[in-house]
Amino acid sequence: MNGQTFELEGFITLKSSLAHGAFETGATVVPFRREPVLQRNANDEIIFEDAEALSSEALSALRAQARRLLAIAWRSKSERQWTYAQFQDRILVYARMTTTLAALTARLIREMGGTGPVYREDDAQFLAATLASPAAPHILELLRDDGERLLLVAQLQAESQARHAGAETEMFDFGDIQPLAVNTRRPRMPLVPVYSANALRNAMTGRRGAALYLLDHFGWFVDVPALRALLSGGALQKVGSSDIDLGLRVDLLNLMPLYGLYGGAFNQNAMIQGSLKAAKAWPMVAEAAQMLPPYLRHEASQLSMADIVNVEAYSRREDALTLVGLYLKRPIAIKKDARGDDEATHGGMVFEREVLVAGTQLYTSQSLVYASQLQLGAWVSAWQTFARVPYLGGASQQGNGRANVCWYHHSVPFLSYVDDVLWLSDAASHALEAYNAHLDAHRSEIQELLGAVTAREDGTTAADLHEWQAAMESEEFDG
Amino acid sequence: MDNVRISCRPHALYYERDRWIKLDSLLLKAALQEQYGAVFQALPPISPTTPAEALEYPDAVPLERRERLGVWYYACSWVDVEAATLRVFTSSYVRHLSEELFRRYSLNKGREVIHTGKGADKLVYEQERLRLVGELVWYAVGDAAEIKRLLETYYHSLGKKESQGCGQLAPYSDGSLWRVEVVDYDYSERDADGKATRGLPAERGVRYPVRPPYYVRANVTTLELPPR
Repeated sequence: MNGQTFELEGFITLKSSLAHGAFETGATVVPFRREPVLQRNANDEIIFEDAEALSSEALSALRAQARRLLAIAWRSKSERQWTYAQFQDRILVYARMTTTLAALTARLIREMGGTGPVYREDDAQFLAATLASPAAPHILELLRDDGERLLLVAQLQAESQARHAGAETEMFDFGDIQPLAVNTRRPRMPLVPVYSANALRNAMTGRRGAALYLLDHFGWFVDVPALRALLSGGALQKVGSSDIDLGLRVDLLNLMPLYGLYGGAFNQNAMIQGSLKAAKAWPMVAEAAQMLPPYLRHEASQLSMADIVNVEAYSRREDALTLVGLYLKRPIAIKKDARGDDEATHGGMVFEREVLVAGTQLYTSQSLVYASQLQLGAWVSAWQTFARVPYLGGASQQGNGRANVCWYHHSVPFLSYVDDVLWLSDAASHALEAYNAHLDAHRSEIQELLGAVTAREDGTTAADLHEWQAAMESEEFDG
Repeated sequence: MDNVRISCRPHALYYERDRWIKLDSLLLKAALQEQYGAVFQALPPISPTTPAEALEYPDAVPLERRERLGVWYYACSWVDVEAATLRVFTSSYVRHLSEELFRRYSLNKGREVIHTGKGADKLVYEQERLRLVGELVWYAVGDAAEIKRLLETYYHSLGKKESQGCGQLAPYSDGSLWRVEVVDYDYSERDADGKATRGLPAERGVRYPVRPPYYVRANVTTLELPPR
């Protein structure tokens, strides 16, 4: 390796949809991880929202229209018990994904599971006029705004409660509420889906992949602290003294290139920073253009993020439906709305997940700062493991996360995994060979450091587990 | 030595520990990394109690040194990250134990129990506050070309958790991550209105570090701090 930093650019092309959950508890739809991105024009100036031009009267009128539109969607729900929280959840996801108010309304009505739009009085005329009016984009913006959406759904819920309590109930004048955002300039910053650098750097494409390569290379088993150190960088240990054993650190860095590459504490009392700096993987869409190098921005501008996001729905059918009368001790009731009752179960459920669609391209970059040839070899070794378990993101058991990945060093192909074939350039091959030679030459020292053994107490070896796993996989595929 | 204006545009900046980001700190680290190369990782760590004589300030740091009231510092302004923040948002990550991998690679001695509720293997769901900033701008007096080279080489992101993509620098339209321009004015200490743009040694003021590493107590002295 020459120079202080070894820079790699990565292009990921999805072959199946990619799920990368944002861990929002209680969400009806598991959203994809997103981050706000400041939008800039060709002169690098920040673009501001048009909403600043709205007067308070105009905003009140827009809110009234949005509320009535949501009321139509809400009335169009199926007979299933919907909550306002679930409704808001859906608006959140679909407002991000659609580019027009008409598309959002159509999708909302469809996803509410009813038989179609349910109109009262002149609802149909109202809807037709609103969707065609110049105010439609502003209403869509309102529904995309977290605070406004919460306000609108809360108003809808309050109106509903008031109706049930009796028409005489005095309603609060919602028009008095004006968010500060209207009076200040707000930069445009849409929530753009992004694949985290943490996943690229520490999962099978990074630290974890390199750790498994090392263990598989020798067929080793290790105890829990050593495995923790390999898979996640290890835990900081409290020791009697705060002194740092620099000799041990140097030994570790020399023996374990992956420690220097990915960093961590490695069960010592101090951490080191790894030499690998990873960037997030941004989809090549107009909204993420600011995060891409300029030579990709024109291509990215051709596509909107609304075009690459989809919601996949899965159903879970209650097994008891087929088991009733066969294996259960006594028959149970199957109810649509069973909750927490041991003697009753419901027929099933639908769950939804936001994904990036197959064909989406993502761009990322990684820099190895003062990394040695051996550390580069450790980086390549992770991709050897990835080639065995080639999935990005979550829900791989349902086929998500298949992808082609190409890495370039100064525009020259360095490593790729395309159509299930791992290709290494000469530079990558040499680095991996050097790494393998290093591992073989220092086998006993690394084994001692990790406390690794080649057989468990019951005599099981890695070869036994490989045979067992291969047999299990072939059975699964044959089936 | 040139009067220099330095700017960058970090995305999702994770920076909580202080109000100001100091560029001289970044340049000192880059210069030390360059001096020691791969050995840098194995150097003794610097802690708040490291004595002054153990701190290194190589001449390769491309900034002018100035002295006032017997205290020296680099001619480089601090950027007010609070003022530059347009929006704060939260992001989250999880750290979880892969039970499958533990079963496959562990020694499997008897009934091994892994505690996921506490301790080293605790399942972690961490939320972090990230900042969206328009642009960060520093003013300095130094070697513009060398400043640009060091920053472009070592800093593709800024702030905490930068190796995991936080604070990733958005490229300018010419592709560079850092913009370093030679200017006519020197705002490295005070701006056009005479307000301090960095901590300046003073007879009365606040006890605060004057030069990098800014967390070392030996560098604390009495300063006039930039107005909030």
